[in-house]
Amino acid sequence: MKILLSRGAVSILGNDSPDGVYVLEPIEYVRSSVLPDNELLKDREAVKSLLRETCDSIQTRTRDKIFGSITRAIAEVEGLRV
Amino acid sequence: MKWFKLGSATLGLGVLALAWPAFMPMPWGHVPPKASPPAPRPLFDPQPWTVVIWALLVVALITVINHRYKSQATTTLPLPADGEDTSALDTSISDLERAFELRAEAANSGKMAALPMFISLVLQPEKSRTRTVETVSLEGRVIVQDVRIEMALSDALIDVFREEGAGKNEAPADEIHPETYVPILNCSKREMIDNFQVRDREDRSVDILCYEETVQLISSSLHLLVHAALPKATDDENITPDGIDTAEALFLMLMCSNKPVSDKTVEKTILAAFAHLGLRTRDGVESRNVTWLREFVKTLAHSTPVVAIVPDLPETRRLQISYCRTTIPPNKSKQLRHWLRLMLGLRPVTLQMVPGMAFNSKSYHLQVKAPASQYLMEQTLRCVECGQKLSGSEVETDGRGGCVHLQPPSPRNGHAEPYFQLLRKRGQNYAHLYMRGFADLKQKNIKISTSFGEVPPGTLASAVITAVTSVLLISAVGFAETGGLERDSDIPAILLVLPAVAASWFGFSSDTEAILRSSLAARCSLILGGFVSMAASVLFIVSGSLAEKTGAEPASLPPPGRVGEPAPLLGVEVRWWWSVLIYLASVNLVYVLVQSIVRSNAYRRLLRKETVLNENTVI
Repeated sequence: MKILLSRGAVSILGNDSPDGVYVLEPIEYVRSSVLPDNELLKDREAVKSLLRETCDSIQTRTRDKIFGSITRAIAEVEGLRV
Repeated sequence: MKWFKLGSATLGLGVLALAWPAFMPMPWGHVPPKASPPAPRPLFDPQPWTVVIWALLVVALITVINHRYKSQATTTLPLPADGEDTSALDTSISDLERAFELRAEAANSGKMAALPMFISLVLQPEKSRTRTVETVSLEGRVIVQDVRIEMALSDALIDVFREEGAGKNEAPADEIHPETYVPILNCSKREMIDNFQVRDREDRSVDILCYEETVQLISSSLHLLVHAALPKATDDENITPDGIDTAEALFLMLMCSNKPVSDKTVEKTILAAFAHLGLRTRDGVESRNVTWLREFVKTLAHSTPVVAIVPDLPETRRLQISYCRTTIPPNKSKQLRHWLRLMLGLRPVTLQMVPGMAFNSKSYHLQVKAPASQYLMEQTLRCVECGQKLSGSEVETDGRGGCVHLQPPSPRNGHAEPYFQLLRKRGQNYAHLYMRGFADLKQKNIKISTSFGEVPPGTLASAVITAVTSVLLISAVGFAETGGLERDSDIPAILLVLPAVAASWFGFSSDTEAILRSSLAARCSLILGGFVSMAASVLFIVSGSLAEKTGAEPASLPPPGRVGEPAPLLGVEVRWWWSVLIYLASVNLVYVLVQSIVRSNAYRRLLRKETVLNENTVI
């Protein structure tokens, strides 16, 4: 059995040669490793501060700037394909 | 498709046109002399070369039709797990713009307060789900999956949600009850959910967010996580608001894609986005916030959250949400035995599944229910990789064949975890698996396999009765015919064919709706018994006709000393062909009788099992 080091989906039963067997595929995504707790979410004040900071940041962004960023991202994905 | 139809039609016409000259005499090909009396024409007059051409046409026709159906049944292969296909990232500019617009709308509403809880429930469902009960019912060709989730939501997140949610309203905080968004399922993107229904504790229908509302939560949560992950004090001038938006656009391409994305593409895209955010892993160590951002993107690149809307969160902060769906399981058969089962109209007796929800919940119950006419024969928990059967004490031990299982963790609070137990088999029609503490398991390649059998006597009893009838009738007619039975009645021929009628009735009209029709022995016995009975009936008619034609007594045909000489059977002499038929019918009877007795005893033993306290994992 291989221990999966990367956090990927759990392998399904597709390679199990299910001869004459009904195979019920899992519907839910499951990580193969445990995610460590995040202390940030346990600190109410920090979360509130982060929420306000996030709101302010979103409201400062204009449509034109966002469009430029999207264009750059798409160009970058095209570059990944090369 | 048009060529297939044209080809099959042409070949079919050719087969039809050639069938007559290949096997039957042509009407003009046999002219009797006028002087002689008209002689009967032969029924068959095969022409060797024409028969060969006809057979080739039949083979070609079958090949064309088979190829047509095969091409229709071919499915699109999924993306390879390690492929580098980036076509899944073809999210349009307008889709990405819409995602950013939705994010801006969320910032102007009270929905932002729901983000921490949303993120927590997406990434760590096992922290909130106290119990998950999954029921898999085998109903006809489909499987109905019912899932009930019990949750205990975090106090800290609820308080933030209430306080921040109330802040956007002018009403007093005590009177504000904003909607709670509860992700109940991270559905894999390759899955299409069929007949999905969500209900609450009182069995009322619960609304779920539409795709656009879900994207709104995702894009807003992403921005929150990006801000949490950004270095607090940095002189890196490369980290600009434009760069952050570019990074988020890259993330959203992964998360808003409707197609599954390969792991390599996800990793490459995340690395490219991290470069815009100035996030670099130093010596393989990264902060928790960066890890959460990475996991959030990876999780939603592979899955889509199904988010339930809870209008009134109870004071207990406990929720119970149920959902159900239907699915049609694949059934692949390569072995001869399984191929034979399918050819005879039978279906698999085994269901395999990965108990994936056990890894997302503190405790997990799984029930696999078969129809009432079935009983549980086998239930095992196995390693997906090596197939080794796992028991309560062996989940963590080293396996065979190079398969390394995890070592057992030390007992916590006196309870060794992970822990699982299977309900003991007592002739019930369902398997029950209980799992606890599997959320922290690093190795998650576990599957459960359940097999069901038909509750005795079932169709085996029908097969036994048919076989007994067949033996008695063939023996009686065989003995009587050898002893000089009068041929003035067709009743024996009708009687002989009765078992065949019974076989077709018992074999193919029973349990037509069950997904697990299991009795291969009964089905084979019924078919063999039917064929033997029909052969006996035909033999009785043919032998009688021959006797009349030759003017001899059936009992005296053929004369002793030649082929067909009467053979002694249990002290009584019968014709050899009757001996063969009686032998076949008797073998069939013994086979199905033994099967019936063995299975009935096995089932009875299950019914007599007693409860054993502190028993080990039940197999």
